[in-house]
Amino acid sequence: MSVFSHPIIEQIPRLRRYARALTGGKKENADDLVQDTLERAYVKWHLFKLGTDLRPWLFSIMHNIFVNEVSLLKHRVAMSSLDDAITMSTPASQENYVQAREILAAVGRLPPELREVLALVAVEECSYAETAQILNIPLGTVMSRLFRARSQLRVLTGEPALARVRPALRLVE
Amino acid sequence: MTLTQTPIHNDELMALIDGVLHPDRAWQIEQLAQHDHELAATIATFRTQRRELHASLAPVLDESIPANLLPQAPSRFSMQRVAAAMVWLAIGVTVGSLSSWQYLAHRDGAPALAQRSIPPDLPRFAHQAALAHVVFAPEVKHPVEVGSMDEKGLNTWLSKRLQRTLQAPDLTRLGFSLMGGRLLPAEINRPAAQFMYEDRQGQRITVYLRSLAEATPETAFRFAEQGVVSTFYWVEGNWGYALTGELSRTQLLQIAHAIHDRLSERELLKVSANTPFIQ
Repeated sequence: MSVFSHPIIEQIPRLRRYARALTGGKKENADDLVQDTLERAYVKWHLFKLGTDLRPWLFSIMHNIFVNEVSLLKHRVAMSSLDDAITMSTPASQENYVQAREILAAVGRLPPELREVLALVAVEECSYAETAQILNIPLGTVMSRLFRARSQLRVLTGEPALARVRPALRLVE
Repeated sequence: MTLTQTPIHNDELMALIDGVLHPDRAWQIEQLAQHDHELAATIATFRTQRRELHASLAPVLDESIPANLLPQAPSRFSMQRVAAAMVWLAIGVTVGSLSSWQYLAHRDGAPALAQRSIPPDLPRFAHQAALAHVVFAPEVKHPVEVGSMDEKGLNTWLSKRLQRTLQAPDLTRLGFSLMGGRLLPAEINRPAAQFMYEDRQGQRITVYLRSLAEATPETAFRFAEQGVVSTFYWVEGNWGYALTGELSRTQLLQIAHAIHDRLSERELLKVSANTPFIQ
């Protein structure tokens, strides 16, 4: 029974989704990350500037915890292998289920810093500027990481790598 | 060189995938892709990735939230209860949460109330009061909706909308003059009123009030600090009152006491604690 009402509570589903992307679909690891984030957020609540957006503030707290954890548990969380089962709570169909496993597992194999950018932009629909602010990196870094994330994901999901650069498609990084 | 021959930058490709590229440029790239198989394949792959990733994580939003991620009710003793209490202490919005909930839980005739999983409205109320302050107090042109020039009209209007007799407190003895007030959305069927005051230095304070979502035990003054603003709030009858400003805690408490005292004497805010306010 939930008794306490707090604006942070409304954000839990979004935090869980972002964490799920960061952990490559691993529910338990993701919820641990959410729990750590919530604990820190409540303690730091007095630092939250009223009138500003709550979600980016929470995401940046999660980012800091994630970065710390990744450096500690590099081999457990960050380098999760494709063999690890991913439990989706409500698979729409068998086909979707397999697809979801594949794409999430592939995301889980991206370097953590690429995962973060991809999840914020492609899943959480944050703007590039918001993403830069949350991760505390320059906008240019957001763009180059996003491109690298998508290109590597393409390889990981079995698509042919981006072919040679041609005059019409001069991919500048 | 025509525009369609302009080299495509990676950033533009990303913006195209995320749907934030300027429509003219997006159209040019789509045109180019019609004759460039490789470009077309890249765009298609990236778009599929985005769609699949989004779809694969969408169900997470509908999952029920595990209990360990939610603060727990003090209905049974557990570490979670202690943790929840610690959380609130840490936030500084103490609300007397445990005491008020034990009060509700153990008071005769009110067990049904305590059983319901409706959270006490008070922390939310205090948050809304602070929020209303930070939004309107810095306003230069429109700090209030109805100015003190029409104080009578203001009182009549807010009384009607809040369904209770309401009069802006007079704080001139404390050096604050009424600027006016406004009606604010708060909860369904529970609008809030805000009165704004200013001292000679231009320092602004706001008084915020609305009826609470449920019977709440009367509280002493509660203090919450949220960013640069401080709020003292209290409950009388079914009504929550909050005084917010960027003053020191001592100054603010003095004003809160003044408002509360006169409120009890029915001098300023004409409140009768025994009559229902919602007709």
